Amino acid sequence: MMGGVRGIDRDLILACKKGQARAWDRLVAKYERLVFSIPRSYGLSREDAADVSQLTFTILIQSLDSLTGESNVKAWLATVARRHTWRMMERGRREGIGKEEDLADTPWLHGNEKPSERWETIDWLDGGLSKMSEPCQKLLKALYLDEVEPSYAEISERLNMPVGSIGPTRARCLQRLRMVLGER
Amino acid sequence: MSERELNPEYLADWAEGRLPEEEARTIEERLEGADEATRADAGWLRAFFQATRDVVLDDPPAGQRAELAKAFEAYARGRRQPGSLKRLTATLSFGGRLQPAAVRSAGGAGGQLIYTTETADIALNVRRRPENGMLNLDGQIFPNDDEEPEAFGVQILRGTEEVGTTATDELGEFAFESVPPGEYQILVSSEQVEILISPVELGA
Repeated sequence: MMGGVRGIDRDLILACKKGQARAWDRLVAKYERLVFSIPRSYGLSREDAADVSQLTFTILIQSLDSLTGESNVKAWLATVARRHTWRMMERGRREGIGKEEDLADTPWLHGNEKPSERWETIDWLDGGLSKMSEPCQKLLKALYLDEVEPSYAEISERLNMPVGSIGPTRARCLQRLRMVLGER
Repeated sequence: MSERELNPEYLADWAEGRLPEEEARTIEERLEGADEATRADAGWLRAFFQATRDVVLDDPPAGQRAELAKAFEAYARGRRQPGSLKRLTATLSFGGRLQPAAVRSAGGAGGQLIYTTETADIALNVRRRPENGMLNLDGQIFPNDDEEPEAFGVQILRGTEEVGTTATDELGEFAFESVPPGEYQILVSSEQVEILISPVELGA
């Protein structure tokens, strides 16, 4: 659906370099969920993730003058966010007594994770969900992307939807999502 | 096991791991002999659920964007050229079967809207996809001067949320596919101008 994304990013970066606040707002709106979700996906709290996210975009501002129209801003943001996520995790590991056991399960510490995989997965899911209708977005996020993992009864109450219709609606939304996302 | 049990809902239960072990095993056996489309459905569901287990998708705190806007303002001060960006609101000049949301919705099989500004005219076409009710939205931008048409970015927005973004080609044409029905604003922008098309109800 969305063609010319790199071209749009190039225009946004060039406009930001000219000081256009609306271009900056659009750039942040476009990538804030990706950037915030990277530290969250590594298990950082919302508070720590907000620090990483704030820092990442602040570094982007400081780096605007060195970025060119050819820069891949999405990959750039993901790289900076991931690097500062790891730093924060490493700091937490050094400072936190008794937290080593939890971090021992973290794949990146053992070099088992391909570095690009997680942010690309976030981007893939976010890109697909953003093109869904609002009810489908809410349902799929509640079912699969809410760390609280609410029960069907809780989802029913939250979304004002009969419990019996969650399963069939979920199947329809997944079919639509597949059409939007294509194969992975 | 009946064919009904390999329907999307049941496959989703299986892929999510909601089924008892024996039932899940039966489904897996059944999938081995299933047609290619059903096996592809099952494979996609498995990949999707694995992806959702690997990541968290979360929105940042509400105040963060304002904080970043302040930080950007400090950078931007002194870099702006006053009056360099012209902001325009497009006026509907021809509604065809469609009109802005405030007047009427762009429903049914589709139609065309023509908007005018002092800088460019914009044609919008909406077509409903019969297979799923989603919409194809395409259009063309016609600059009013005789110069080589510049590239425009085109965004569709629902409230403040960007639903889609694309760019015009060398003919000024653009297209979005599979847009969910709803009320949208459309923003057309270049280095020199921003043109806002007021909310249009598409496909209601």
